[in-house]
Amino acid sequence: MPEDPMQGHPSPTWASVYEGPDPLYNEDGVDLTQIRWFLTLTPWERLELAAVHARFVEELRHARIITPESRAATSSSS
Amino acid sequence: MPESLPLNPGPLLQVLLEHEVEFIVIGGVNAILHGAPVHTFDLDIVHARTEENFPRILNALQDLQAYYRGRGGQRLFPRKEWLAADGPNLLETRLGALDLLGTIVGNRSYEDLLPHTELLVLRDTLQVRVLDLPTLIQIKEETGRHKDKLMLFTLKATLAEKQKQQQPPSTG
Repeated sequence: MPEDPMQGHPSPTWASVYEGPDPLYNEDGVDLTQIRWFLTLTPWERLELAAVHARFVEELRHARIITPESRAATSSSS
Repeated sequence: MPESLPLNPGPLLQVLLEHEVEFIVIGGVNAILHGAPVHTFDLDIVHARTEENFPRILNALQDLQAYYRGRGGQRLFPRKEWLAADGPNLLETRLGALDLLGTIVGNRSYEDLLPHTELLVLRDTLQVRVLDLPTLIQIKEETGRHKDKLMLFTLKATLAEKQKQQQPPSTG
């Protein structure tokens, strides 16, 4: 186990973790932390991430839900 | 080639640029290039409908093995006269879906949009023309479709964040 850097210090509250000058969300509920992170990437890196996302969705198209029936059918055929 | 391949926008732009196609990136990929964390499944471009540009587009589309999507087993290759029309050319390519639009909302053509674009440099070598973020927001607002309204929240927040980051730090 890595050493807890906060050991010996008073335990922070949940709210204190998010204390800071920049809000996490705007009034429309948009997660600003994601926008700030995305802006740190180069435009090409952003495109690469879009491709990764598209591939992931494509993989999900071929995903299937395992039901008790399908599990039974798989185990009986093997 | 399977019916539909996932979008690979970087290499897709690269092929268009290699063939010296004149175009403006709009839509989701444009939003992503501006730093908006949104998802998209196609590359939307408005192409210049000039005699010089048509052969470049057709060469690029041949390279990309493009054909009209949504036509079942029929593989229709784009033609110059179809690219010259106002309407959209919705294509499937070996690098994902590519939509070529003669005009967009408000009957805006390549020439109309040109003053509202920026040249973005990718990987130090590729220069790609994109619609500027305020104009993209304006167009999404004019379109008024539900899917555009959803993206608008993120686009506006991205613009605000970029403007904030560009401000000089306050002193004192």
